[in-house]
Amino acid sequence: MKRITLPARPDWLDKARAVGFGFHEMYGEPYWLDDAAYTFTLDEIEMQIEGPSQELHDMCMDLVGDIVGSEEALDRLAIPEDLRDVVQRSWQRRDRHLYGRFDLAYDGTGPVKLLEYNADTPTSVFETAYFQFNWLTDQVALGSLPKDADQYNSLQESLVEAFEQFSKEPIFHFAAMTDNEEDRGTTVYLMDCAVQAGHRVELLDIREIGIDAQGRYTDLQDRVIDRCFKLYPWEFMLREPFARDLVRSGDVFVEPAWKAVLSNKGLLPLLWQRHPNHPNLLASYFADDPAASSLSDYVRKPLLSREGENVTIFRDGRELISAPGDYGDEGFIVQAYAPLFESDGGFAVLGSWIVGDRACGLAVREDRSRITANLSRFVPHVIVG
Amino acid sequence: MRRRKSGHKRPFLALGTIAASTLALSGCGDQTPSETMFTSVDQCVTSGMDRQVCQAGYQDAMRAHLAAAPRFNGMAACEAEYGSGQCTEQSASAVPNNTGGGGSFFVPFLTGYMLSSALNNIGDYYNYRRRQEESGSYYGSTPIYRNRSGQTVTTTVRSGGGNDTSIAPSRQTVKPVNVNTRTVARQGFGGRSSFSFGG
Repeated sequence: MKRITLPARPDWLDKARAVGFGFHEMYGEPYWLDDAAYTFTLDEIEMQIEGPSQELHDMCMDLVGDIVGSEEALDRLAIPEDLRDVVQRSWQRRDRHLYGRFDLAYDGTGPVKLLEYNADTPTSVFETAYFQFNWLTDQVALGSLPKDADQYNSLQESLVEAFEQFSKEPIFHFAAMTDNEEDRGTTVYLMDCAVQAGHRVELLDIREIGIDAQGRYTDLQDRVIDRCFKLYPWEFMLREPFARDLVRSGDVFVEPAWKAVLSNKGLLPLLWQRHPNHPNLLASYFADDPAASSLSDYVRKPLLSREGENVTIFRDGRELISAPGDYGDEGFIVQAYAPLFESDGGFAVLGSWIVGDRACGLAVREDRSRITANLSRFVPHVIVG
Repeated sequence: MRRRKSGHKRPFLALGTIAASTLALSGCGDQTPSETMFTSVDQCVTSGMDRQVCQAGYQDAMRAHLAAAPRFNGMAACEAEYGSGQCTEQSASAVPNNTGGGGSFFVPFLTGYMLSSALNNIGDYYNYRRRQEESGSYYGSTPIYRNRSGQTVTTTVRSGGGNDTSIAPSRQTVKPVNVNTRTVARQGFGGRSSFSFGG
């Protein structure tokens, strides 16, 4: 793994504009980098990223049944008691899931380490699947990259394939916070993949979802919603007014409710318990577990947290850096500290994609801070050698 | 030769852009036709779809209808489900790849067909149909029926090819989709505010 710089494509801004990629800048900061890249060897991709990601996903799927079947585990993950039925039934029905993204630490040596599983509402999917791939083919055509340069990226075709597995009879609704450009863009991109798989699609704001007298979710034309992708976290939905109807109608949502147990940091100590000393796992404990005190370099994370909020890093038992936020009420876990790949660009985190049940692509984000957050940048990657 | 890690073809956007406005996608705009259930070829053409796509889609729906419409042994049983005057007798010999012998049964009238809104030309259509075939469904468009209470119903046509197509779905596999109802409340989800909910 290396970080390189190369000339940006002269017309990349026009290209971004042409496909509606407006969030190449976010909050006044550049988000997409066209003039830098991370390089990997094929061996690194296959042995260090693809293989371990597949194994980690299989380990996670193997654990879901045990978690949803154990009141103690569900307590640990702070799944609200009156909604455990929703989660359990969605697993018993084997409600189909679409995608997820592992965040992995890799410093170029040794095995990658699992930081967390964004199994419910992962973003950066358009950047990875579409824009990053176009960047590669353009840079090869421009001669800035060798002709045989490759990328670990079959994300779009995997998404289209995964959408083909869902019934095409009902309209596939897509719900997001539509006033957020990034979330809307991500959602519309997924709609695009669904259209390519032959679905009829409709976008609505998550707040526009209605309910009828029988407790079925409805759209703005007063039609029953039979299938709905939502870019909105389960941990919120489970605690909101319409949650009471999830027991009856919760089967319409993608990701399914059982993903609530994988997108929860409580997964990490449970994985460690099941597979102690697994090369791709970091020692992890619930914060109140006495074993947690065995760690001196560690990261404390809320069970539920996004964009790095409320994450604190400790070195030699002392607080090194912390990120603000509104999470933490449900409790914390601690996880052994793993160094990230560090370069002039900052600290890099690998995002490894799972679609359906298959590992299929890579996204690299870098940040000046050791805590990767909302303002981190997306840097394309390339396989050379 | 070493295995490529990237997809076989350059990804494309069927909708053209990820900035597609909410309005255009929900049918209030002028770009994307959202109504893709058609009662006739003419209605399909009027909505802006390619004429050849509309015709091919209709023919496909008719073939799927002949192969797999919900079947009843008597007119009364069919009308009980689909309403008076909404059924017809069909000769078993009209069913494609029929291996089940002669005789006849009763089926509801085909009231329309369903197509993907992304099909702009016949090339798209054949591509779409090929994908459907690869994923195990046999026809390029879906037949639509209206049941007694006016709800839209479709049948699930699956085929590994050959003989399967002569097996009609049982009535249990016919279910209404996106039925009309009355919304009694909204804004029960989405109460949290944040920069972004993606991770």
